Amino acid sequence: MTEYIENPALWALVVLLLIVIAVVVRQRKAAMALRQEIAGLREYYSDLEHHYMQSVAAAQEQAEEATKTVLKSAMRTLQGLAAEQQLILSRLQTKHGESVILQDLLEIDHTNSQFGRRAQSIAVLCDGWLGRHRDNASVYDVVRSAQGRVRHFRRVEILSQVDFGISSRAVEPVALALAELLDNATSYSSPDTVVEINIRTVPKGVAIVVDDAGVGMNDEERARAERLLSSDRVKSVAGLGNPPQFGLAVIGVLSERFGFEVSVDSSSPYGGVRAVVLLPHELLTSMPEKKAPAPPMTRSSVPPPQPNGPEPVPASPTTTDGLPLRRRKRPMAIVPGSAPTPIASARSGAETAAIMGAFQRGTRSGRAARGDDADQTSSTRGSSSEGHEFS
Amino acid sequence: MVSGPSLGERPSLQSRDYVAGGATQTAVKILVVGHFAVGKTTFIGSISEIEPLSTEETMTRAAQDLDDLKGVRGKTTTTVAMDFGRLTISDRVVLYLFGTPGQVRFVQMWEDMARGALGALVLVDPERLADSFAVIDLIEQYGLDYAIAVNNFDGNPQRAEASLREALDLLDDTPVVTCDARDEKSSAAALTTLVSYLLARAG
Amino acid sequence: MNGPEDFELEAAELVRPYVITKGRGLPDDDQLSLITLVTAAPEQVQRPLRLSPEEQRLLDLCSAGYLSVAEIAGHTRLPLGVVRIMLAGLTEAGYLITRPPVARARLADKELLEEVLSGLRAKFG
Repeated sequence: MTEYIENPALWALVVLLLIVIAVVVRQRKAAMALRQEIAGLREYYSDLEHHYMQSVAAAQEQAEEATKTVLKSAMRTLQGLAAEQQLILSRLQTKHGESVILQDLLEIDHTNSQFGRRAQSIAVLCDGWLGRHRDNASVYDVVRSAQGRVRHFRRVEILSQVDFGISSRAVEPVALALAELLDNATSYSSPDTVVEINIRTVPKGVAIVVDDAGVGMNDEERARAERLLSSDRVKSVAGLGNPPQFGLAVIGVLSERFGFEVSVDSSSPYGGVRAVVLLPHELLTSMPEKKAPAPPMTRSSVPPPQPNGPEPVPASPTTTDGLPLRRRKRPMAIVPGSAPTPIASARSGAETAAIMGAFQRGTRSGRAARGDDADQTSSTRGSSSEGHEFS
Repeated sequence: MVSGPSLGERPSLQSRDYVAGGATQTAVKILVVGHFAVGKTTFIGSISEIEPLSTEETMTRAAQDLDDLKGVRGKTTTTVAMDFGRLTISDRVVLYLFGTPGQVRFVQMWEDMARGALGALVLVDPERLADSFAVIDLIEQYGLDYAIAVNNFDGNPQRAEASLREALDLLDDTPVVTCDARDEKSSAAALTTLVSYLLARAG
Repeated sequence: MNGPEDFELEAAELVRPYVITKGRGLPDDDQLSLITLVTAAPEQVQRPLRLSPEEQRLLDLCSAGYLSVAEIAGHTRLPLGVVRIMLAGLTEAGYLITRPPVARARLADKELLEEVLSGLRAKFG
């Protein structure tokens, strides 16, 4: 035995063994520590990932909110301008109702209405401003208002009417939603087809039925439409695609907020889409009374005027008596045969240039006289602080 | 809030509002022109068998009535309005009087008004003679025959006809009459003078 | 936000005039001038429901006699051009009949002027 004990080789072996054990133990410890560390790191990482996701979502939300806020205020300005322009156009149409210029004014009016509607739709998606206050209006007039907001309004025909009104707060939402439906109906059907509107009373209220003769929707489109109309629609403005498809999203928001139903899930008898807007009794009123009986515009009904400051008289040549002096004009051949042949020869030989000058003078003095009108239009400038707001 | 360009209540017109014997009538028109506030509306009102109507807009109605005020040196916010009256002349002829504003911004409107008119009566305020120039210029350019009616405002010194003719550069045969636009007879006399003149020129 | 100013802000008409005219163009002046006389056609058995309230009211207005186009516009307070477009549409559809004013050739007619002159003299002495 002693020989073994004294054998240095054995000691060496023992030492080696101890070393090995120590190493193994240390390694195990190290491995354990490492494993713990890794686990810790993993935990930390997932924590980090979680926080990251949260902040990204928050940032997205914030960005969406910021976008909405910017858009909302930008649209408010545009809507205000469109509304202001509409008032100016109304005034011009009455003023120049007897002139061929009316035709152009009506066209500008139509373009302006479309422009206003686009801004209004974006505003709706941004929880923005719906427009100026409206009185109760007949369902028929609300439908015609919607009709006037789409490009191809001539293709829209209203085939039936009901004796109901829409309460004031729902007038704009229903008109806008219907306009978006009509825009779809006229855009996705052939230009030579008619889009029919039937207004009917139903047990639940009043239904406005829009039938187009387009190609209809396939299952996928129908599903998408349903989704946009339902409450789990795309909530972000960014999710509307490019070019953005506002229509159904706008209708979805409006119908939810104002409590009417819109469906586009059936087919029209002409093969296209049948869209139905169902207005519940809560949004309906009796047929609105016309405004105070409009008396014919006779002079006696005019309120008393308010006299004002003096009017400048332009300086010009005078007679020997000190009276202002005019120069006779020669007839222009603008109204052929409108009068017995004018005796042009007997008149003084004013040059054509002078005649045109007189025309301009006439129009200029007219314009100058209208200078005060500019003030009237400015009374509509505060358009961004009235009307009904969402939410 | 405007309720729409509604027609308001169903207008309840009485039978006298309609053209008597309309089925056989020939409609003719005479323009009554002049600058702002010269009294065109008053003139038409004094002679028309119907309450003078207007295509004026509601929003600025307040300003337009200034036209009725004699001698008013008002703010010229009046809008282009066309007001008119009617006079049944006989079983065969009904005469429309169209009051046409002095502010002439749209030549087209003048074309519409002048087309088919028998002639024009130009109302003139002697104290604001220069204001009438543009409107007389236009009448001449449209080749319409006209007579001048000097609306005789109370208290204003009457100008000698000769100096008025010189200032307005009138033809020798262009009639100049004074009238009180508020007075039916006086307005009718001015109109009669115009028609006599038109007849003389037609003959 | 609601200053006193805000109450003055009004919305324009809900139904725009170009919708009322159904986007149609102005008729020729020869077809419907200011002094064209208009009345409802005698055989108006039934009016289709398709007529707008404005058209219905124009027909009502014209149902009891003749009025000039200018007078109709004055009674309705619609822009004259809008009224002319609607009247032209109703005439084409056979609801109205029109009597155009004196032909241009007759304007210089001495007889016509004589009639006006004697009428004025008879009326006002």
